Amino acid sequence: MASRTIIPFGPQHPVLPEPIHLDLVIEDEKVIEAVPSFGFVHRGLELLVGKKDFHQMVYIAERICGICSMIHGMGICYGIEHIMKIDVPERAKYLRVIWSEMSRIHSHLLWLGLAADAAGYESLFMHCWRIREKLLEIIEATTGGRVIFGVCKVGGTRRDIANSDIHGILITLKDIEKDYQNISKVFRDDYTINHRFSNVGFLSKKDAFELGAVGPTLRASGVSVDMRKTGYSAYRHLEFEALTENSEDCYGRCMVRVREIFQSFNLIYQAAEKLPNGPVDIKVTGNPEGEYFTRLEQPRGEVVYYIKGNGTQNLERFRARTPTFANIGPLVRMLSGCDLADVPVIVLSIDPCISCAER
Amino acid sequence: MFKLPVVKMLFVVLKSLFTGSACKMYPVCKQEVIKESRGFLNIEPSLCILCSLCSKKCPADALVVNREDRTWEVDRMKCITCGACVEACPKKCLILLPERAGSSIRKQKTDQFNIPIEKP
Repeated sequence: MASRTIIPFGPQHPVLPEPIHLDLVIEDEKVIEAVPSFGFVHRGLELLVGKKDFHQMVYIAERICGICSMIHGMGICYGIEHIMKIDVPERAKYLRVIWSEMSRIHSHLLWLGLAADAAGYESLFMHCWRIREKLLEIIEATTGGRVIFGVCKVGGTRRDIANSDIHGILITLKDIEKDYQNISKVFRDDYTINHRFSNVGFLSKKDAFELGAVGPTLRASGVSVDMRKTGYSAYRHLEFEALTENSEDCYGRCMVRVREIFQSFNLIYQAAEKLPNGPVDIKVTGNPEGEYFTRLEQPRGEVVYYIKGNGTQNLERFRARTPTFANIGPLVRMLSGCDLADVPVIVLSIDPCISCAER
Repeated sequence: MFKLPVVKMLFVVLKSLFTGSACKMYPVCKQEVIKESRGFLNIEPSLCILCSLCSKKCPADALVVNREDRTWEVDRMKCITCGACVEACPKKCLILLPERAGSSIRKQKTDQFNIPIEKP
């Protein structure tokens, strides 16, 4: 029997944008076991509920993560609105959907760039980020921020997109989609990418379901679960299907994201077409009293918020279960038995966002 | 029509060859400012009534309003340019300018504005 060695992976590694540490137990270049450890970017954001009022907590929730900031803000607003029984104007719901889908596209494009880089395609990586840049400009012009949107507030949205501007935005989005179409072909058909991602990081349908995988990680194993199908915000009025792949490996996860970008473009077009006229926010009076579980679909998967209000300005409890945290268990399963050289690709395939997971 | 992936990628490569760089030569070509952007908090001191609603609404505790000294202070390193103060201001004397704060702002951490006494 070959001797076992422990190789530390992270917290600083070229493939990791954020710090996570894995102790890899190696035997003959094969990973026998992976032991993850956290806590490098813990900020204690959830504890701030005692100091900040519930309006200010929206800004703090948005800063849990830079990539999914819109949906974090939307999640806490959605929970508080349900507790306070606030009926958000329809236009605000549609605007939230448009911005959420823009955030999903830019998150997936960022991931595709990183995936291309991991496969050794530096030029493809830059192409993905070049397209993302155009989208970020639209986001900045509509919300005021490139990364932190800051548009969600309890009772609606802070900004509105003028009906006259929507036509121009759609034209730009169609250009971006056309650009992206050329690049997506490389991810679909290229031999090197196919060879690098196929049969790597295998996660069976049963394991994915039992270990509680979420988002593209779960859908790539053939389980059709998408929280948007629960119909929160304006999603109930839009037509779409949860996209699944049956390959159960890193290639499947890549393909789910490649296809979801097209789906997000489609959802934006649908939402822009159905966008009703009217106000974008309503006045909020009183304080939240009660509790609520919010489940939303972030680019990385399902996020769960627990919000408890006690009738004062400060919430009593705020807790977020982010998608990366749910995907750590499946990641450990994927890593056991893989080659050492495949570890970076497998870790990347769950799209780890450690600042989300640690908050 | 083109089944080989190399040929498909060729379009992207050729397009990149002839369209030039997507990057901007920064110091020569300045980044265009998007006017809707939330960049830099500014105050019109003559309109301020020192009500301190802005500092109460600020989620980052970046604003300090001193009624006795008649000063309004913003800590630029704490300010997250969220715009909560701009919304709260009853006199509309606060504004978020689209330009970002310059890099030299780090030395000059706090900006203090003296609020003139209201004329009867």
